[in-house]
Amino acid sequence: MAADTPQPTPTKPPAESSSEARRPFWGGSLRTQLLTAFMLLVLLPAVAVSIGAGITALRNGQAQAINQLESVATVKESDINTWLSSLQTNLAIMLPEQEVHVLVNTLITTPTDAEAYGKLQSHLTWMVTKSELFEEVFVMDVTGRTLLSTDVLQEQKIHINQVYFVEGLKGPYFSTPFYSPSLGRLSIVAVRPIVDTNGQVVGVLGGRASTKKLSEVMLERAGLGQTGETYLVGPNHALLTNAKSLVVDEDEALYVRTPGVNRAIDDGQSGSELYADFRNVQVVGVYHWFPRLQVALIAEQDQSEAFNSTYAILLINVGVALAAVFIAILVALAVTRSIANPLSLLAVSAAAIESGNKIDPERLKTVVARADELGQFGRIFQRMAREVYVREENLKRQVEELKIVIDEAKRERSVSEITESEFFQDLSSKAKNLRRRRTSDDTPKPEVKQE
Amino acid sequence: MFKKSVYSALLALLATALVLSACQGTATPAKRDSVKLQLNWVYATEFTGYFVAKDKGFYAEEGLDVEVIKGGPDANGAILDAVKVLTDTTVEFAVLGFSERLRTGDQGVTLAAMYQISPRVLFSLANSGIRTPMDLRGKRLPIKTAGWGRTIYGTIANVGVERSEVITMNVPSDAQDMLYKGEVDIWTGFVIDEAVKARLAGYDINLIFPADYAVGTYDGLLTTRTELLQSNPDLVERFVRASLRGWQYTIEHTDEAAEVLSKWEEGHDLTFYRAAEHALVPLIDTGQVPIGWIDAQRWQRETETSGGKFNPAAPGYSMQFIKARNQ
Repeated sequence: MAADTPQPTPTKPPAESSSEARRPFWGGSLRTQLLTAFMLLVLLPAVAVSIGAGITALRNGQAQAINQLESVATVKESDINTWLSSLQTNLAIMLPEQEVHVLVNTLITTPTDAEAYGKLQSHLTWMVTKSELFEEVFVMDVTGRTLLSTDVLQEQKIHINQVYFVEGLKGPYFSTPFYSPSLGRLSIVAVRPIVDTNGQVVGVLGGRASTKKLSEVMLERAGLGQTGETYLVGPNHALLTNAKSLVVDEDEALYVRTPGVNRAIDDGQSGSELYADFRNVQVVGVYHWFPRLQVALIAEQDQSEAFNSTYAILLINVGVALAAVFIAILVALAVTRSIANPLSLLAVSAAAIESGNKIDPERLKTVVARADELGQFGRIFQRMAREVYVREENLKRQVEELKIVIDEAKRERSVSEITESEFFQDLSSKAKNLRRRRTSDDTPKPEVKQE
Repeated sequence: MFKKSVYSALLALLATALVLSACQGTATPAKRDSVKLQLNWVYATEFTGYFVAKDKGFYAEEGLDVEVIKGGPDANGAILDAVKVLTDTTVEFAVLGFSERLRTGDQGVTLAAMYQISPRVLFSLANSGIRTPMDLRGKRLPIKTAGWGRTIYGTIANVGVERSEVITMNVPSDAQDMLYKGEVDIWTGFVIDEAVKARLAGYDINLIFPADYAVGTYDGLLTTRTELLQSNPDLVERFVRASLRGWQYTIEHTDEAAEVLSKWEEGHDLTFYRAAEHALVPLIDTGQVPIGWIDAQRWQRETETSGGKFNPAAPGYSMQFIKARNQ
């Protein structure tokens, strides 16, 4: 009996033991599959949400930084416009009164008139001092010659080749800020025509202003944070005003060629962009083409600062996502374990039953104790296993009983085969005869010859 | 049979690839057009843009092999006539002064005026008190050459100072020490040369630009023959484009340009060349017009004041390439 019972062997779940069993592409065991599925379920939304949130945050951050710089640029553009308008307004009121007008016309027609020169010189010097806008105010005749200047060193200079003089004959005009080699500095010239009583243009009134005012406007730091800066660039790409990180050297032009500057100057466009500035630092840049002065107004802020809050939000998002993923992994592991372990136990038990081994009810105790479907499955399995066991035992007993019956039948058949054989019949007949003779005669028993 | 045809095809492919790669490797560069540029003086700061264009390979990139020929005095002291070598077709391009340009007549056409402001200056020691041409009354003025004489006389005349009110002295061109020694009250020269020397010698100087008093004209005129412009405008355009690129590079990279210049001009150290290049920039790039630009009214005015005849139908200059560059 013992020899007929197979020894317990290491068991595997039936599906795995079969070479024909199909596995999903992402894993082998049910535990792996469940874990993979849980991880994907957690990771995919987390990654999608993080990327979406990141892109949104970056866009919002960029838009916010650009709006901020746009506001600053607009305010500064407005400041410059106000300053330019005040230059023209002050230039216009330099020659308001009839008396002054007569003096100017006298000087233009008779440059040697010392009285007219003296009175006008005093008047313009007083106006320049009072306005605090100009370095110099000067009167030119129609040939461009400076008949009078509040800076006497500039008198007799002839401006006929200057764009501002040619334009000044036509109407009020501002020059682009430019460097004068003879003055050794940058300046801007506002001009307006001088007309006589007949409305005839008889000269040009010019006012030279320092670009320091523009530099002051550009260097105001409101709304620019720690790294932001604004500056003006001329139509030749030369830096016109001091920048926080770049100071205009009066003796040496500095040329700026960044994407923002190029767009404004070469294309006459206004807009915003991310690019490397003249220090080769990545910045958020806003560029305005400023046609009134023919210059580019640039407002820039380092991306590291502009996107600082965005980076903080992104970091928090990533942190939260990572924490969620970590927790999800733990939960997934626990859930996987609670599902896969009982199933694995049941699979091992099923394999044991298949191999003919008796299962230990204690091993399934944790499974059957569960209140969920797995517990129900475990209990059914345990009952089925028990029934299988009982049925098997019954079958074994029946087999034993059948064996006994068969053995008896065999024995009977063997006996009958013996008894019914001719030899036995013959022998039996002989024995009968012998017995009969023994009883009838007292003669000794005959010897039985064995064959 | 099949294998054999496959092997044959592969061999053919391999051979083709080898031939193609060999052709690529040994391909000769496209033939460059050889042109000559004649300068109107010896190699000096005032021509740096052309040296840079050659040194940085801007001409080569335009398919040009440019020979930059120096002008000025030869070994015998004879001054080379840049106008003649241009008009007799020895060279394709020349850098000329305004009066030289007028001499070419209709045979020449100017393509760019590199000096918007003439580099000619009168300068005095700062402690002399001479700051304007009006201050030259009664002063000793050096006349180095007839040309410099015209500059001085033109300047004082334009501010109402008579020749009789100044003392003129004929002096050698290289006698700048006379200023330092107090033998003359001013010196004349280029702001990119003599004025730099004075400053590097430790003297504080006052500059008077005759250009501020309408003396002097466009200078450094890049000029070609009218016939060449008409027959081969592509060649001319490429030359102008590369030259302007050289000038642009010069004004934006003065220290590097100084190093290039030091390979051409002799007699000074790098400190001088750097200072000269810095002084050069505002004369080339005024910030008000594109570099090389020629204004029609100014050209006409300067032609007429220089004794030339201005013909509106054939003004003698062409801005087509500068316009194209700045579009």
